[in-house]
Amino acid sequence: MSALLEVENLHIAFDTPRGTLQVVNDVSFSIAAGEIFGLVGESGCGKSVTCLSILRLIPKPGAITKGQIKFQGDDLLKKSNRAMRRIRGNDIAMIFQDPFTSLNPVFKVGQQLLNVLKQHTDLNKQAATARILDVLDSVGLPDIERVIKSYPHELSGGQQQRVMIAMALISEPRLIVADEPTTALDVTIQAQILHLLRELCDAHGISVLLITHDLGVVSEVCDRSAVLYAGKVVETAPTQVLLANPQHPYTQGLLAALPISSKRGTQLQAIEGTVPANPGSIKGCVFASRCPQVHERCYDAQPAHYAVNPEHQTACYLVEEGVSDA
Amino acid sequence: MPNTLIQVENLVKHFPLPGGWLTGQRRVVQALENVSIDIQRGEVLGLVGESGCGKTTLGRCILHLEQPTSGHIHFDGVDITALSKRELRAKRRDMQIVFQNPLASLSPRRTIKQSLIEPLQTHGFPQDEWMTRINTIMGRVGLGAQHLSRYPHELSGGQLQRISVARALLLAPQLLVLDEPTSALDVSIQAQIINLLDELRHDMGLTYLFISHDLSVIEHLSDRIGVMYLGKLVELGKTEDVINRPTHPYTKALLQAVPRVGEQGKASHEPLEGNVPSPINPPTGCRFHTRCPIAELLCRETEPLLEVKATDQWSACHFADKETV
Repeated sequence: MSALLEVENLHIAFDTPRGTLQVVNDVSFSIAAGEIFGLVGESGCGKSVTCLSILRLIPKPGAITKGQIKFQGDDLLKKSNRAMRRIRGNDIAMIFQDPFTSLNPVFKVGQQLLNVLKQHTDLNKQAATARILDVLDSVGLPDIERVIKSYPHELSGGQQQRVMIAMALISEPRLIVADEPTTALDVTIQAQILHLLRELCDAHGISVLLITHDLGVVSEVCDRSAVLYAGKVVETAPTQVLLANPQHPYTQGLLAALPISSKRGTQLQAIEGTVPANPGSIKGCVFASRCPQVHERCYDAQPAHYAVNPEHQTACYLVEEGVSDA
Repeated sequence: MPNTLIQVENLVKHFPLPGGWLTGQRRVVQALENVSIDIQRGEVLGLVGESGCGKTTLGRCILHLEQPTSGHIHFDGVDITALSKRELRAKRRDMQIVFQNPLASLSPRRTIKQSLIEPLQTHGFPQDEWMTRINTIMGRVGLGAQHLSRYPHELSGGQLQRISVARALLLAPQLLVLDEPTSALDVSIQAQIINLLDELRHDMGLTYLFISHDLSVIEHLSDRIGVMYLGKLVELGKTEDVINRPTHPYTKALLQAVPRVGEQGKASHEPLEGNVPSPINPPTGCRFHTRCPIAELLCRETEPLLEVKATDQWSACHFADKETV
């Protein structure tokens, strides 16, 4: 399986008046064609910045300081702005968290979709309209004729998100970057949208990079996932392996903190402490200050990514020991 | 002391919409329609539902932050809908609220200490008691005196939510309404707050009305669960029963839709179709019939009443019995 997207040693820093803030620190992952890849983490862990960096949309004063982002073999960081503009929307599309603020409130939905098509294709009006109807139908919107003539505020949150997905799909991209696409939606609507993403992936072989804070969402739709903490990937594995057999203490802590039926009436295991303010300045493991199984050497040097098995890597000394013992 | 702390009877809350003076037809948002519910002393009642279902409005009506359109609310045997402003203010000491976003509910221009003194001042506590009360309560929520001189922006989300809980508990209330208290927090911090709330409740004998859209949080803390849909209470029962043996089709759909860890590929199940209809012009009959997988003609015409379907389990569905058997 060749990778569609390969992110290697990505470093992103923000220059602030108080000094440089290293928000993403040596992040690597790859996504295969037709795969849904989950990037999970809590607020401030750098997941949104990572996904914006793929489209080279990081707001100033943020900048990619090191690393490679290879899409179909080409390094996106070496492309000209002009070439990048052709890739955005065409080969890589993006879905944002809040559909209402991402759609233009003063244009009708049909017009907005038409603008996207005009930008990326040279279809005539008739063909373009047919394509719009087709794509709106494929995202399961009812009463398409009405939707086209509606302004965003006339649609419900779920319908708006479907329009966003339609907009992302319209130029037949290879990769969709979805940043918390269901967080603003109710659970029954979230279920519909996740169902739709899975279907589209299976039917068209599109890859999805799904950013979320919700382990439940990851469990439902993602083939493989990576856990991000304070700008570092701490664990990568096929989703069900990750959830059933987590190796990194942070992943274990996240799972233990979830309220689930079997833990009713018992204390939840919270992860004590808070995320470090400037993780870039930490010499050792970024999780050391909150880790229940911390050792001396965790403070001294950053653990490398150790392989539990070829598909499962984690950045923790405990695993290195476990592997060398075996 | 009666065992029922709160009794809500046929509560209706309509919010009038602007306009309509030309046609003479004033349109209203029917936020709550004939909701009756009781909260026992010392229990945690969880209210769950999707956005716009009226769960927050119900919580606010119980605190009388909203004047109900009709219906009665008895707090400790007293009908608070009939109280004068002054009597109500005295009653407010016994009922407090914690909001979703702690950063928005604490004044950014005041230190934590100033924010905590205000309720004590308002309710006329003697000044020499203030600091002892504040220090005790800060200790209870796991914070120290060093936090008192800080401003809200200097504290983390979890710490701020602890302050909000502390502020609500300062007056030693009987009832605490928790409106999505963990929704703005990360999972690891959410777990800390849930544990804290659970501890406080047992130690201080508090009664909670816990409002959330997150079934797993509700399930963890509540003794009983009420499920709301479009201004109606559709199911009410003990937590185990509602979770394990839901009777209303909406409760079932809601349980199905929650993504859970370890349940792979549930997205392959057919999710509930359609959207929540508008509360301005809700469907006739059963309000859920437009999305219900088992709806029949009867559901479109006749509104089902909240009836006992099993021991201590109430459900507003014509076909709830048939489905469970």
